[in-house]
Amino acid sequence: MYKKLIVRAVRKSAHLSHKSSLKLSRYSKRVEHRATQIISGQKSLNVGAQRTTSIDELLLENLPQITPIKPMLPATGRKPTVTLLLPTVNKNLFFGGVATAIISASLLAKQKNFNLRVVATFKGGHADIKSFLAGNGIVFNGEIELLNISVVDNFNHRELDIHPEDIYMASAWPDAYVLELLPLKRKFVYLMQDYEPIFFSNSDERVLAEYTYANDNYVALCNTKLMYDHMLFMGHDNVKEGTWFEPAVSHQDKTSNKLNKNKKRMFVYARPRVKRNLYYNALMAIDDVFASGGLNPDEWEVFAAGQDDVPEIKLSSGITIKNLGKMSMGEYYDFTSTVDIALTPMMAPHPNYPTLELASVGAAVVTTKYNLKQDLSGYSKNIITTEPDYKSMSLGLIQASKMNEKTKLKNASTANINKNWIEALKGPIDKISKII
Amino acid sequence: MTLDCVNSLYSYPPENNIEVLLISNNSSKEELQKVVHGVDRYSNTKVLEYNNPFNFQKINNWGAEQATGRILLFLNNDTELVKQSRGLLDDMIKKAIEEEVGAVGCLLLYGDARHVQHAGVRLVSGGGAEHLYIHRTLDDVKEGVAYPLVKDRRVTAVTAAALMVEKSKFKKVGGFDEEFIVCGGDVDLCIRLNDKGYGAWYVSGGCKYILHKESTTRSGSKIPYIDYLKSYESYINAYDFKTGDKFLPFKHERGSINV
Repeated sequence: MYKKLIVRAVRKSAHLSHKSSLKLSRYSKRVEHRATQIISGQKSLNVGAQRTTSIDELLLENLPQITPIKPMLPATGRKPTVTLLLPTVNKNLFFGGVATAIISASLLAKQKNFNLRVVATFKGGHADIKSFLAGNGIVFNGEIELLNISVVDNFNHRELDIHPEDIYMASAWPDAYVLELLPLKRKFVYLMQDYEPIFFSNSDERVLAEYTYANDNYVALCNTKLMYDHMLFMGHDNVKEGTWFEPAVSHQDKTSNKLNKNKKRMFVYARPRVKRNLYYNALMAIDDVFASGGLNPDEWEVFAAGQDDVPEIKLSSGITIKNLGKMSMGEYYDFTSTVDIALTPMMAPHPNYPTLELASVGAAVVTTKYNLKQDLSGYSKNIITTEPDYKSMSLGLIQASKMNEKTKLKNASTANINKNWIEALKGPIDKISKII
Repeated sequence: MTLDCVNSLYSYPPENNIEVLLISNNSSKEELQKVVHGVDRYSNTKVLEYNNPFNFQKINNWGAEQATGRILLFLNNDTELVKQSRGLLDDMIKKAIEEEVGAVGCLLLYGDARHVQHAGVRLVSGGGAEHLYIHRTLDDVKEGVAYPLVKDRRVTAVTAAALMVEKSKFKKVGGFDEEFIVCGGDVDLCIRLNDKGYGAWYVSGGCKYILHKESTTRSGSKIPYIDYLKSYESYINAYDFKTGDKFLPFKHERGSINV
C-alpha cells in the first residue's frame, strides 16, 4: 500500500514536471522568438501584456489526444509491421477492449507474416506482449516492438516511422483521427468496439469522434455484429466494406464454485467514472430490489468490481456492497465463477465483456438495452436485458434470481459465446487481410 | 542582414554577369526602405515585393519567374559570402550547366565560420532529411571522414538556402512544389529533378564556403504539419529501404553522430 502511494507520488511528480517543462519550453520559444524580432527590427504582434497563443499550442493544451503524428522514414532493413495504436499501454489494462485490440493486431500480423508494433500514443508503459498473447493461446514468432510516442517534439508533433507496407490499426477515436492525417499507402483498420461519440456530451470531442467515421480511408472491424449494425443504423455506411467478429471469452470452464456458499452472491459491474456504466441507476436498482422485498437481504451478499476507488456502500436494507476494486484476471475469473446473479449495465450498443464472461460461467446476468441491443439471449439464455432505468433493472434482478442453478449451468454450456480468439477472429481477419 | 548578403555577393561575384532580385515578403516599411536605399548603387539589382502570406516555395517560384538569366541561384538573405567564398559561385555554375546535373549546393558554415551548417542533405534511417555533418567543425570533417567535405559529391539534395539550378531544368519540373509552406520543398525539388535525370551535387571547390547565419533567423519559427506530410511523401520515393540514403549511406565513424 505504502509502496503504491510512493509510486503514485513519483508518477504525479513526473507528470507535473513534464507539463512544466513543456510550458517552460513554450515560454522559452516565445522569448527567443521575441528576441529575434527585436534583433531583426521586426515589430511584435503582441500588444501590451496580452499573450498570443498559437492554435497548435491551444490544441495541444486542450485536445492533446489529437496531436498530429509526424511521419518519419522507416529504419533501414525494417520489415513491414502491423502497427496498433493505443492511447495507453499498461500491462494492467490488458483486458476488455485493449486486450481485444492487441489480439486482433497480432493475428493480422501473423496472417500477413509481418512484425507487430504496439504504439502508446498518449501514455506509455511496460508490458510483455508476447506473454500476454501466449496466455491467450497465440504463439507469435515475429518481432514485437513496444513504442511510446506520447512525447511531443519542439513543434508540438509526435513522431512515428512509417513503412509504406505497414498496416495500421486504431481502436480509439483520437488514434483513428491522427491516422487519417497520415499519408498511408493502405487503408487502416478501425477496430470499432464502442460508439465513442456517445462518451461525450455535445462537445468538440463528440464532433471529432463522429468525424473519424465519416472518412473512407479505413476498413472497419467491429467488435460484435451488434456494433456493426449500430454503425449502419447511425448512417456510417463506410463500415460495409469491413466486417465484424464475435469476441472470445476465456476461462469458461469454471462453473462449479457456486453451490458451497452460505449466501448467494450478487455482483455489480461498477465503474462510476465511466458514465455509460449507469452506476447510480444500478445502485438504486439493487437498493430497490432488497428494500421492496423482491430479494431477501438475509440470503444475499453483494460485491462490486471494476474500479478501485469505489467505497463500500450501505443500502437501506442493511446490506453492504463490498468493493473488490480492480482485480487481476486470475482473481476476476475465480470470483466470477462464484457469482449467482450479476448486474452489468452499460449504455452502449454492444454487449460488454463482463456480461458475456459472467453468463458463460453460469451466472444470470442483467444488462441494459440500448438502441438495437434489445435481446442478448442469442449469446446465452443467462442474459436478461432490461430498460436502463433502475426499476426495470430491479425487476430484471428478480427475474434473474428465479433462474435455478441447473438451468444457468445448462445455459452456460449451450451459450453461443466464442471460447477461442484464434477461431473467433479467423474469418474476419482473413477478410480484412484480403481488403488491405 | 540583407544588405550584408547583397554587398558580399558583389564583393565575390562570379565571372558571369549577375542580376540580383531581392524579394521582400511582408517586410516593414523601414526595413524595406533601408534595403532599397542600400542597393541603390547596384544597377542590376532590383527589390521586388511579394506581400502574400509566407510560403517559401511560392516566394521563390515567383522570384524565378521574374529572373531573366539562364541560371538561378536561390540565396537566403541571412547568408554572406566571405573571402573563402571566392570562386565558389563559378565552381557551382560549371557544375550546374552539366547536362545531367540539377540542383547544386555548397558548403555553408554557421556565422562562427567554424561549424558546418550544410554540406548536402541526406535521408536518415528512422528520421527525415538531415544536413550532412551539421554542427561538426569544418576541421573535423574536411578530410578523413566517410564523406570528406573537400570533395565534390553526388547527394540526394541540397538546401535552398544556397541552391543553384539552370532555369530550364527548374521549369521542367514545375519549380518548387507550393504545397510545402516552410521547409522540405528544397529536398523535394532535388528529388524531382533527380527523377528527370538531373542529379543534385554538393560542390566543394576545395572547401570554399558561404556563411549561413541561420540560428538568428529560424528560432521560434513553426513548421506546419503539411510540410512533414509532403516531405515524407516525397522522401520515401528517394529512400533506399536497405541502405537509407542512396548517395550517403550510413557509415559508422568514430565521434560522429550524424554519419
